[in-house]
Amino acid sequence: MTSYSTPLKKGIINRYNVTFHGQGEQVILFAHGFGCDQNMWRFVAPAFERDYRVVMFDYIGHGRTNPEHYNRERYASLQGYAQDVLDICHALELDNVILVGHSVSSMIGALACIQEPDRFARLIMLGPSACYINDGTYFGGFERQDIESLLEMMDGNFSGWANSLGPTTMGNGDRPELGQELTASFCKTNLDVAQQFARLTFYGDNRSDLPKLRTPSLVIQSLEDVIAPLEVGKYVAKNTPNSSFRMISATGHCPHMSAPTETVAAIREYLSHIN
Amino acid sequence: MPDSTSHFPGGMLVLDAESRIAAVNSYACDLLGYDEGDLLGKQVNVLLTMASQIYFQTHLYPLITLQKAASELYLTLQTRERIWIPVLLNAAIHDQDGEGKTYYAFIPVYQRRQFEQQLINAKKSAEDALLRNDELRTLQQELQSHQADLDRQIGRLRQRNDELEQFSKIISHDLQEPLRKINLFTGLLTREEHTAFTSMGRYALDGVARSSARLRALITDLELFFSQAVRSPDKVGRVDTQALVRAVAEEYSAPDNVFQVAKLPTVRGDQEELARLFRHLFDNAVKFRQPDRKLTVQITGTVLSVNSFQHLPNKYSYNDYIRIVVADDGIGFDNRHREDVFRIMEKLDTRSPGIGLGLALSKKIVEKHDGQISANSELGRGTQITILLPAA
Repeated sequence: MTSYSTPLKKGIINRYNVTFHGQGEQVILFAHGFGCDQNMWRFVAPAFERDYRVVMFDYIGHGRTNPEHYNRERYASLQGYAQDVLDICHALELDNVILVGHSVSSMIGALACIQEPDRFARLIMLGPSACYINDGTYFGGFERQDIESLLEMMDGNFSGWANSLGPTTMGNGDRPELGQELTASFCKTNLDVAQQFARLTFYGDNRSDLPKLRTPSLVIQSLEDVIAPLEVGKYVAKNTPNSSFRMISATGHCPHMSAPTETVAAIREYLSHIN
Repeated sequence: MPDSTSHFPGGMLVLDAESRIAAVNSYACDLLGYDEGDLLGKQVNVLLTMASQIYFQTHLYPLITLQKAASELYLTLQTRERIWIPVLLNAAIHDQDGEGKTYYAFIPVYQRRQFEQQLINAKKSAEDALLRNDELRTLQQELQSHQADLDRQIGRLRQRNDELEQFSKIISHDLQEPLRKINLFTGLLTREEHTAFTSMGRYALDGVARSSARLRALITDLELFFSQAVRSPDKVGRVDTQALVRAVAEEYSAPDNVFQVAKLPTVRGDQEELARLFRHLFDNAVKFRQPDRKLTVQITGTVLSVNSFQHLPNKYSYNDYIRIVVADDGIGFDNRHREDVFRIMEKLDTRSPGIGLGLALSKKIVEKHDGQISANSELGRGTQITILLPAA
């Protein structure tokens, strides 16, 4: 077992709230998407603990990370998030990594793999989209106004976001049964960070990056996913070299939460073909 | 839904584990313009605006699934006629017959939403003004401290430059003179009668001759390294790397040296310097080939986004760079030396000719182009040199 006592490693672990589980040798690194944090992997990650070293983290401004580390310049592009993934791998000396990204983390993962092809063994993309906005004959599923409305709606949900208009302490102690501390921390995101992440995610266009990806990859596509519909997932698989496509019968954009067993099976089956 | 719920002045909605509508009360049906029968079994998405669908799928669904409950959520519903209705809703998950069902209660908040929107806008503009002020102040401080740093560094660099110039003069002139004399006198001695020396004397003389020849080679290389003229900016332009690399590869091609050049993107740089760069790299590949088999060198290129700030911490500006990889199947070296190989005078194989200047010079050329160079090698398998150059 590697020691995580050096200042560099400790620094990265705290910065990204990196967690480790499992006894395996090979690293499987889970990257959460827009709107939540590493907790969204809690129904699938345990299934890999026997055979892999499971590593999870939160992006800056998400989950339990300190929003003070947020750097506007760095996160003005998805490259900044890809750099997060690479920084974690460098500091913790993770090699031959299986990277699993949900939603926008599929493209973040692709950028990281393009940047350092030797570091990653496989990239698994759960509900990926290379471009969310319709463009000419390309179907992404959304128009720019849809995203503007989304940003406005996020403004209105002040209770869900840390550091926003709403009262920061809620409940006034008259609902002790909630276990406030713990429950309140799920999917907590700093509003500014979340809105900027939403802009990057939904206005982003990574179609030209797909052909550059050399790492073997898998697209997992669920049914009736309005965020990443079937044709969008097929587009990613078709335009990415060494890519496989796998339909699962789960519905919605979060099959790892709504159908964890099926999602685990799809990932396992794909990984069983490695040598 | 049972009759009693039909009088409730608020919307009630039950979703199954796959977010399909399992039950809906009459208030909700009236508000949204549907009959109950139209909605049962449909995805909840039919009731949501596009933005709400994104928000529901990416944030609310994970949140409610993890917390089993959530309150005061703001969402925009959409009627059958596509009229938007802002609502405030609470949600809770309860297991029923082994299936988790989510119960929603909601009320429309037309007026509240408008007031809130005004509050939010006012708060935002106040915050923006503050933030801009803060940002400007921080930037100003940063700028001042950077200017002071810059000034100090310019001073230091000037001094180093003067030293280097002197050093270069010493190498090209002052050192050459005594060396020329040593060579001259050694030459005279070697022309003496064979019998004029003892065997030890002859052995020592050979040693002097060999060492002074090597010293001369070293000095010539050093001179070359330090005298590399600073690139004049007018020579920088778009360089067709593919044509350039093909042409250089041609010079090094032989029946048993094969160069495979893939499609390479255009870079910004100095044509001659870049040609010199690839000459150094190909020269190395040929020099460190496997003695008993054919050499194959593969040159490939991709476009990448890279942070152009290489030295300042916490500064980011992502720009397009071209990554060119020169991979050979030569003898390779121990990867522990991957940094050392770029140092001047560093030679891993002492039997090879020259002083190991090729990669040091390559590094110099790449860095003059604001690029980066790195090496990766495996003994017996070959070496990969990776270069990053700014895209044209």
